[in-house]
Amino acid sequence: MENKPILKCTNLTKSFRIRKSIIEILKGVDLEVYPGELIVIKGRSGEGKSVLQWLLSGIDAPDSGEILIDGIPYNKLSSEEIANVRRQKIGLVFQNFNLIPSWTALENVESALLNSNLSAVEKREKAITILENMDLGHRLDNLPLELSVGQQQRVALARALINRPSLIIADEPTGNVDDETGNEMLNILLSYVRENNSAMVVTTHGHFTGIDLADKLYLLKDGLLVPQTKGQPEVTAAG
Amino acid sequence: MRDSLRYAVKEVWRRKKRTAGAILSYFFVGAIVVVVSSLAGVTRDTAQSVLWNVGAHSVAYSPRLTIYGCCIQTFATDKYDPDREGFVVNNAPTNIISEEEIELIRQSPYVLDASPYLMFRIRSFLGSGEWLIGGIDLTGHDVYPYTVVAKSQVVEGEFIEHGEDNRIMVEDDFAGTYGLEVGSELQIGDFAYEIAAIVNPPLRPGKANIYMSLEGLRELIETRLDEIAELPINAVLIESLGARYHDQAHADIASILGSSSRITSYGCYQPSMMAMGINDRTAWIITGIVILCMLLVAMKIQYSSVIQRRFDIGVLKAIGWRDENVVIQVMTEASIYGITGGIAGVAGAFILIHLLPGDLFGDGGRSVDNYVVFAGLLLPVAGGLLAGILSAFRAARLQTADILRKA
Ligand SMILES: Nc1ncnc2c1ncn2[C@@H]1O[C@H](COP(=O)(O)OP(=O)(O)O)[C@@H](O)[C@H]1O
Ligand SMILES: [Mg+2]
Repeated sequence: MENKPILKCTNLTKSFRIRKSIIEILKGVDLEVYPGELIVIKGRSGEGKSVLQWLLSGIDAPDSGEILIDGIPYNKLSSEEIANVRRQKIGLVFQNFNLIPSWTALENVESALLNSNLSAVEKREKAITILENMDLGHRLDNLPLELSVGQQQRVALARALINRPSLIIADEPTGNVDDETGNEMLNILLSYVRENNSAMVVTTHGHFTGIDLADKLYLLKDGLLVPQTKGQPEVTAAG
Repeated sequence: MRDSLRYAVKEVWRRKKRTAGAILSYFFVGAIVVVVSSLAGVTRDTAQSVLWNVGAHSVAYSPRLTIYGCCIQTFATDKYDPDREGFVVNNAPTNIISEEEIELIRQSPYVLDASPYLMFRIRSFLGSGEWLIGGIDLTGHDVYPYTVVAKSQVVEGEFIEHGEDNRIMVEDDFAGTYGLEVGSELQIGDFAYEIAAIVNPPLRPGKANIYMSLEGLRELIETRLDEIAELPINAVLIESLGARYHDQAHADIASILGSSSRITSYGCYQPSMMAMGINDRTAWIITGIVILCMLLVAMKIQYSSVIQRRFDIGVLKAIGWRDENVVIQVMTEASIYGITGGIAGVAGAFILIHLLPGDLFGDGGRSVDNYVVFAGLLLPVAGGLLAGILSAFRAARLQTADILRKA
């Protein structure tokens, strides 16, 4: 892979002060992610998978180390610029979907278009189109709780993908759903990734059906990313 | 920007209870400001107009040391008792005032009107003691009702009119003491008078026991004194430009009637003005506290709405909303609350003011000053924006990672 990494981080550290003691969660994490790559990070609960994902998506800042997104370091960007990067380049998939409960499916998806240059009508049409592609054309005006878990998951994916991100960051995306729903999500994400030559960083605490498809597999343990060997993948995510 | 507005309107619409709560609080703020200001303005106007009149009306006279005197010949007749009878104001023997002097007083810039008054003390014709008689110039002057006795103070009977020189009015106490009734007769000196009315004026500078027409009293006095100045007057009823010009009017009058002249009015107008001020302030302090409480309620509603939405805000920031989006949205909501509440409050106040009985409002009627309307709008809007700023900053400070971790 000769092209430039979409994401590159070097020597990330992050610790938290809990009462009087300081707990180091990340102790020097290095990671490179290239377009088209599927990266899977395994780790037991509490190892810092979510913390790492928030650093990668610019939601939180590391204590030391550097993160380059498309070659640009987060710490050189204002919080507004980081927000723009997140909207334009990163699709976030959360474990609990994190849909806004009082907003309809359509409103939830549309909210990801807030700062884009589209007109209100265009935004609405774009959101409707992607929901229709997810087989939710008839549930646009439902609130999340009025939808099945699988449908909520597809609304969340529509919201994550509507800005055509070049990097998907998914934090234990299948952690809370049954296998069938988990596989459905995986299929949607993988086909998106393949069609768009996007990269995807997925964390899991073990049970993730996509592990076999990973281009790179890591174990997050004691604050470090340890590369894992695995059998040659049958299919690569790269196109 | 337009999107944030749209989201704000949606949010306001979606959370109807919260919206109603916030708007209602601002409604009360606006309404209370307008209603209380206009009622307070009216009571203050009324109170001041009373005080104004009190201070504006007075009686001027020129005291002398003895009843025996220069200008009038005081030869005692067989009927006249020189030690007890004579021209008296406020228990002091007085000099006679001329028509020219009254005319000069009228010309003072601080005097609106001046009219002649005659006060004569005569011995009692029912037992011992003296009676004080006031002779009123009844030819259409506006001053005597404020300084001597007014038609509205008639307890029983009819106020005497010009030309009714043999009819008198007696004070309530006086009538009680001597058992006098309306329609009965009272003998004073050589004359028998019909009692036309029993009156009960408050403490007045020109207060007497018996009131009759100026002409009638002059006729009576002629029979008491041997020689008398033509058309005697010993007091001037004065309407000055206002309570504030009391001192200037007095100075002018002193220069005309001599430095020993006196000008009397109710001494209580200054302390009562102060008391009124204190009352006014108390009312405003209570109103202020009520308004402050309503403002705090509204602001609390707004602030906690942001705290309640911390999850939404965290997620939206995670998917690419900027701080400014959140701030504009919160500020827009705040403006909607404040402006809607303020306008509704002012409108409600107008309706209430028109439903209230009209006699609550003085001469100014139900009109509301522009600045009161402005204050009624400004306070809710300012409160809304302040709450908006506070909660917007709170919203912007929310740490997305913290929120997501707790989600
Ligand atoms: N803001 C924070 N303050 C204190 N401790 C935190 C904070 N964020 C994460 N942690 C701690 O860091 C550790 C790793 O958390 P997390 O990344 O959520 O684990 P997981 O691998 O299960 O996703 C946990 O012990 C957690 O309590
Ligand atoms: Mg986690």
